[in-house]
Amino acid sequence: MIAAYKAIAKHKLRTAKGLLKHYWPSYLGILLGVVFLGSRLIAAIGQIGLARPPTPAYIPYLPALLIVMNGYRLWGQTPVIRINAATLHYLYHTGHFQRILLLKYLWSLVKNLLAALVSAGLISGFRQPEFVTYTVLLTLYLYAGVISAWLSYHGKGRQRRITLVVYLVMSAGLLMPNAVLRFAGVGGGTLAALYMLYRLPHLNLARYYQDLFRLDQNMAYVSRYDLAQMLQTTAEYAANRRRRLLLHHLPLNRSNALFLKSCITTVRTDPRIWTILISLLLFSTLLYRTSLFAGIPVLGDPASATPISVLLIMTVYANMGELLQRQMQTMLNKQRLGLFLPMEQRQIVFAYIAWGSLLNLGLTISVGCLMASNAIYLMAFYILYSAIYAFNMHCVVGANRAMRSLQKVIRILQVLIGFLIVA
Amino acid sequence: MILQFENVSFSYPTTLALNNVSFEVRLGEIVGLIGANGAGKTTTLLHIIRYLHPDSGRIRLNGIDITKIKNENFAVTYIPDTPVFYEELTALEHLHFVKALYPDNKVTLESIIDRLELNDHLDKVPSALSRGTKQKLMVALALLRHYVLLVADEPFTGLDPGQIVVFKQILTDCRREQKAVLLSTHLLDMVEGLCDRYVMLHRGRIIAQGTKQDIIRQYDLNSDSTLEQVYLTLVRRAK
Repeated sequence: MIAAYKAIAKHKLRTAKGLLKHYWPSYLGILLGVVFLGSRLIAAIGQIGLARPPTPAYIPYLPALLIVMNGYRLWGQTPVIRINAATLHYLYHTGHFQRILLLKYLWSLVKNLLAALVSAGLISGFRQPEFVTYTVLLTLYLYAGVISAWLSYHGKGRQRRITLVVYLVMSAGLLMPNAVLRFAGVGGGTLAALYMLYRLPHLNLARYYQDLFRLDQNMAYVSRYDLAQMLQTTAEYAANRRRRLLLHHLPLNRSNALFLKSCITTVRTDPRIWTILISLLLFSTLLYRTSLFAGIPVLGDPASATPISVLLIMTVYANMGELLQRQMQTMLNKQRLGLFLPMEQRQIVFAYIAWGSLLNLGLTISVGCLMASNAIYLMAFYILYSAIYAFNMHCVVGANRAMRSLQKVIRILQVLIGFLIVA
Repeated sequence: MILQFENVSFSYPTTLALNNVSFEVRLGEIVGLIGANGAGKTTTLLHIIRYLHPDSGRIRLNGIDITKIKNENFAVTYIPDTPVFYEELTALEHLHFVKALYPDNKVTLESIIDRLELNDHLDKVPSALSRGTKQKLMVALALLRHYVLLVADEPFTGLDPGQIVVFKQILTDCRREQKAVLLSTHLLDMVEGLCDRYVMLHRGRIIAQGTKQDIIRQYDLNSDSTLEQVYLTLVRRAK
C-alpha cells in the first residue's frame, strides 16, 4: 500500500523537478518577492509593536481583494480541490480515495489559514485581540469560499444559485462595520456551506475527471517545457468551452447586430487576459496610493511611482483598445474575403467605436474610484481619450504610411493624457 | 445477474443523454454496447463506474444498488476511451502502483507483461509510448485490479491487428473465468462474433437488445445481415 503512495509522491517530485529545471528564474523571482514582502511585514510588526494600531491606506482594499478572490473561485468553474486524474481513476474504487480527498480538504484549509493570517495581520497591524478575531473571520470567509466553489462546481442549477447567495451574504457580512454583523454574515455563510457539503449527494466525477485530465496534461507539457502542446491544449479547451451567453439570446436587429457581436466577443476573451489587466490596475493603485513599496528603489519613490502607475493604467487602456482593434480588423478582413455584411465599412467601424467608448467609460469610472481622481479631470480624460480612440480606429482602417506614423503620435498622446487621472 | 440497469434517465444541462435505459449483463458473458458517436455509450459506462448518477432509475451490481456499495467492495474495472497515466511514472512503475493497490489479485506482473508484450516499454514514460502501447498498458492495469465486471470504452482504439487478437483473447478468458464484460464501441465489425449479446443505443434510447439472431428475428430483418446492417436498419427505423 505504501508503495502506491510512494509512486504518487515520486510523480509529484519529478513534476516539480521538471518545473524547477525550466522555470527556475521565475521561481527565484517569486522567492525574492516573498522574502521582500516578508521582511516588510516583519519590519512593520517591529515598528508598530503589538499595541499600536496602524491605519495604512490599503486596508480597505484587502477585504475587497478577498471578495474578488472568492468570487473568482466561484465563477472560475475550475476545481478548487485538485488531485491527479490518474489518482481519481486508479484510487476511486478503493478506500484510499476518501482519505486523499479529506487530506486535500485539510491542505486547502491550511493554505487559507495562512492567507488569512497574513491578511489579518495587515488589517489589524498584529494588534490583539483584532488579529485573532480577523484571522478567524478571514479563515472562515476564505474556506467557505473554497467549499462554495467546490459545491457550485459539482452542483446543478438550484445548488449553484444557493452557493451564489451564500457568497453574497458572506461578502456583505465581511464589509459590515460591526464585528457582530461581520461574524453573523460570514459565520452564517460558512455554516450554510458546510451543511450543503454534508448534504452533497454526489460529486460530478465525470466533469471533475475531464478537467483534471486536461490540467494534468497541461502540467506535463509545462513541466517538459513543451510550449507548442501547451498552447494547443489551451486553444482546444477554449474552443470547446460551453458558452452560456449566445448571440441569439440578445435582442438582435440589423442596426445593433455588430455592436452586440463585439460585446459578446469581448465577454468571451480569455479570462487570463482580464486577470492580468485587473492585476495591473490593482498594482498601479497600490503603487500610487499606498506606501507598500517604500524602500524599494524606483517603485518606492513617489516621484517615479506616479508616472509608473499612469503608464500601467494606460497599458490597460491600450490593451483594451488592441482587443477591439483586432476584432474589428478580423471582421473587416472577413468582409474583404467575401463575407456578406449588409452594412458599409464605416458602420462596422462605428459599431466598434461605440462599444469601445462604453467599455472605456466603465474602465474610467473604475480607475477614477481606485485612484480617487478629480471628477472634472477624469471627465476631461474620458472625452479626450474617446476622441483619440475613435480617431485611432479610423487610422487602422486606412492603414497607409502616413496613418501609421500618425498612430505613433496618437500612442504618445494617449499616455500623456493619462496624467489627467492623477492630476 | 451481475449488472442491472433499470429505467435509467440522465440529462446533461442541455441534452437528454439517456432516456429510460434498461439492460442487464450476466456473469460469463460479453455484452457489446453499440451505437454511433453521441448515442450515450460513454454516459452509460460512466454511470456504471459511478462517475455519474442517474436522474431517475436504478443501477444494481449483484443485486445491490451501486450507490450503497463501499468503494473497496466495488468490483468493477474500467478502461476509459483515453488512456490516463501519471505522466512522470514509467510503465513498470504504473504496474507496480496498481499491483500494490490490489495485492490479493492473483494475476502476476510477469504474466501480464508477457501476455501484452510490454517488455520493451517498461522503462518508458507514457509520453514516449505509442497510442497502441498506451492502450495495452491501460488493459494491463485494468486486469491487475479486483473485478467481476470489466467495462471498456472503445477499447480497440489504437490497437494493431495483433494486439486486437490478444485483447479479444483476454475478453474471452474473462468469459471463461465467469466474469462479465461490457464493452462499448462503434466499430461493429470488430465485435461481431465476439459478444454474446448486444445493446444498441441511438440518441440515448435502446433501439434493440439481445443476441444478433434474436434481434434479426424480433425485427424481421434479413437473416444474412451483418451486425452493421442490422444496426443501421434499426437506426433508420427509429428515425
